[in-house]
Amino acid sequence: MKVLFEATVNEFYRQKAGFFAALLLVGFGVLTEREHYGLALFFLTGSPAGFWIAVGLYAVMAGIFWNSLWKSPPYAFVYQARLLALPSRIFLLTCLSLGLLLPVIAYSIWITYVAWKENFAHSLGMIWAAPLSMILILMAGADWRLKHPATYYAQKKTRPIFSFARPATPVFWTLEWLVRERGLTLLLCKLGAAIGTAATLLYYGTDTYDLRLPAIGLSVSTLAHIGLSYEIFQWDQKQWQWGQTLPLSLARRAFDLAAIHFLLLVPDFLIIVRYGRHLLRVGDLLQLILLQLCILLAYHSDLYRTRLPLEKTLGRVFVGVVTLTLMVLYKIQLPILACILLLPAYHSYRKFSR
Amino acid sequence: MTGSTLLHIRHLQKSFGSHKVLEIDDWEITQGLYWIQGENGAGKSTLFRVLAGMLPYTASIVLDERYDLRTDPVEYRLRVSMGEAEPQYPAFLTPRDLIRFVARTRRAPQGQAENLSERFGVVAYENQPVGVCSSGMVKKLSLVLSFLGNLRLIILDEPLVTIDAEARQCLFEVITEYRHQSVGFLISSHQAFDDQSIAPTQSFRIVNKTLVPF
Repeated sequence: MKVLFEATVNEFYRQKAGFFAALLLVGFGVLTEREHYGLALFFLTGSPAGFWIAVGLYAVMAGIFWNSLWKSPPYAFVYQARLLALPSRIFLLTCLSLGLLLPVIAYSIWITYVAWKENFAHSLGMIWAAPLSMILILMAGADWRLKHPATYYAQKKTRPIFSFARPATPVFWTLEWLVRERGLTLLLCKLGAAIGTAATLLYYGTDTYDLRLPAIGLSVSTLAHIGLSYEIFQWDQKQWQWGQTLPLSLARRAFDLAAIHFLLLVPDFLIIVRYGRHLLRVGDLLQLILLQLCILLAYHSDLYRTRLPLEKTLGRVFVGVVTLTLMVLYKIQLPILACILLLPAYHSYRKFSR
Repeated sequence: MTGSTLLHIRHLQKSFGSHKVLEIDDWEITQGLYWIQGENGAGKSTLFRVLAGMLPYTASIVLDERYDLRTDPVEYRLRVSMGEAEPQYPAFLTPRDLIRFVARTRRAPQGQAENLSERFGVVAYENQPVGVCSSGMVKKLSLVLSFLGNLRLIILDEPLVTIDAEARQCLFEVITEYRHQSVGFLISSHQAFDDQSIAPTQSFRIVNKTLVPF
């Protein structure tokens, strides 16, 4: 059972690392404890439909992943599990379903805690019914898959999404891959960043502050992109690894990476312009944009040096944010901060990217 | 060994964590076709990937006594290409996308990409996403990509695997043509070459993490 758990559940969290990083950043970076508490009360006192929809969408994502994974050629061995006795098979599939639905179950426990504190225990039935039914549905789907082995790999039909010829440039390919293969992560990261950016500038407009406030606020909201930056690293190291044999100069590769990150940040820049145009001068806007870009590039280049999994980079990110915040508070000019981030980043990329 | 040195490796060490895979002290070859052999897991693909610039390494790797992979990464890569044993490309791209891009980056001569695509039969599926291509089709695409450019050394890792008899014949013809243009080859294959026109100049085997002639 251990091998199936590692091959399925671990793989789920590994492949969706960017999604979960964005989810954590939105959940714990944007929402406060009071808002979490209020949301739990809303699910307990109002209609549970919202909770059911959220759990259902998560289960659909997990189910699609599970099905695709077990249909892929390296997973042909899982069909041996069909030979297990029924009780063993049920136990196995229950464990796998629980593993995939762990975040939902953890959230249900949080709601249970709120219900216990607020004496709403009678509402818990409808709350717990959601994850429990999803476990049963996932188990049934997986059991059906075991009984109907995918003896051939039905390749996903990828239809062209443009009416024009695809540009022959990895910048475009990387962004297209993010949209096609990491669409949910992209959506969630952009949502988190947009909320953070808008909230920072709205707060900035409530009184007279200097540039340090939006610099710190936007630096934090930039962190919503680290999941995407990590996915771009994965693209470079796995999906397009053969591209490293091509004769592209270091400057060209670095420029491409900067261009990809810049394009990812464009929606945030538009929000900054939308909410900050009356509050900030053009020079200030450009400084903030430069700082955001340099933060992401510094994170990205560090991935080449450390080659750590996403979750292990978060500690370094935390230290970096604290340091950066202190430097901003000590009134170090933003262009100087950008240079402090960019120069080691370029050095790191030059040394470790090949 | 006669003629000028095509490739010179010194002090190559490659490890994955604490597991050392390669330890080649000094190895050089002149222009020719070299067959690299070794049991499964001996380190052939790792060696090839290091030489193609895909994996970090500790060594001096110099082409034509001039282009060092570390200090002249672009010039080196312009002259060295690699076809992988199990090539993998982003599933949504088409062979046409990849060929156009690689031909441009490798500064391939006019008409070379079209000629190779036609000969290997890639042109028949050049607009299909790689994700819907069979392994043989992807392999033929990787062969086309590895022959693009003005090359000095082509590294082919198990080039005969999964391709049909027609593509195999085409591969032998193209290798012969490129050899006449002074292009060197490093090839690994568990299948023997039965075509005398591409008889190896010399064979090497990876034993105890290093290359030994046999």
